[in-house]
Amino acid sequence: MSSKRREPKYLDLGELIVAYATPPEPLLAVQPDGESCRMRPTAVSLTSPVELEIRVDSSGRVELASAPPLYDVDTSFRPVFQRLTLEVDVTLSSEEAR
Amino acid sequence: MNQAWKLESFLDAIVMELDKARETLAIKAVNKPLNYAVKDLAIELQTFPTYDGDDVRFVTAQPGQTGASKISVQLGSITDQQVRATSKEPPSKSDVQIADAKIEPSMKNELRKLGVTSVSDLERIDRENIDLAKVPERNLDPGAIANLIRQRSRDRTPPVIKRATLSRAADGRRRLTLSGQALALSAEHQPEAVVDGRQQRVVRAAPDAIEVELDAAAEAHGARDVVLALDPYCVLRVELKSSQVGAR
Repeated sequence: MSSKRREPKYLDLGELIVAYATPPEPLLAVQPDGESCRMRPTAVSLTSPVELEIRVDSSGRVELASAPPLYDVDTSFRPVFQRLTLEVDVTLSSEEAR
Repeated sequence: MNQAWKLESFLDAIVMELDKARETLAIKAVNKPLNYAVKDLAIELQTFPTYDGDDVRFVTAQPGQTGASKISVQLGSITDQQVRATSKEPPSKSDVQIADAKIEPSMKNELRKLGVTSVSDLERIDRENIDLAKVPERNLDPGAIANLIRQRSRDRTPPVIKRATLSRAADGRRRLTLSGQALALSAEHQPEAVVDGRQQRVVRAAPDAIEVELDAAAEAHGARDVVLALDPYCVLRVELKSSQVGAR
């Protein structure tokens, strides 16, 4: 890989995908009229701008690192954002389904 | 400074990262009531493409740069059966990759552009009776292609030597007969024999036997090291020990 050190803000793209693909817990529980009900997501759809660092080693192999937008400041030169879209399926684990 | 990358390498990197993400999500699912699976992923990139005559490479836009092109990459999810139905079979251990073949680099590039990545692909094209040499503006050497196919075909029928015999012909000369299978298979090429570093005359060449006439020097030496060039695609070396040679 390139000898240039990666900036701390960048994660492996896979780590960013895991972070985006895991909705927060616990599941929403509401009690209308004294009755409880559980809600769970069935799908997650996300579109986000991301910064992408693309490194290439001497053999041409590519390594991807990424970061979500960190600052909401209107500077003269803005970072170049790429667009990441994820569709995530959410299913009950077999134990929970029983 | 952004580095230039090839789309193929970029896709490899995305797939690798997606695999890592899927593995992590699968582990997380063990202790969670809900399973999360990435179904589709798309990335839109602001890039500047360049073409050097062989490859298209991309450089991602940097802050302040305008006029970048947009590339959209979408990875969907399919089943293993769909993968098998829509992909080439993975290369077998015995298959020769075009990248490793002994041909000119320019020809490797031309074949890659035609989607030919292995000698098996060339054989498939040959069976369909397609003449790659006639593909316009590709400059493919038909001789080199034929050689690769013949080499692969020869690799599938390797020679086997089962017996070596020394005998004396009617003219008094010693003859070394090597018997076995798949020895002389080519009608176009006469096998050559070198015994103990000296070329000897092959007097009979058949699929099941090669008969070599030994000159006086080879006879005196005892004929221990035999190199046979059966055809341009098969050269074998045999070391004979006295117990293996049956003298008549």
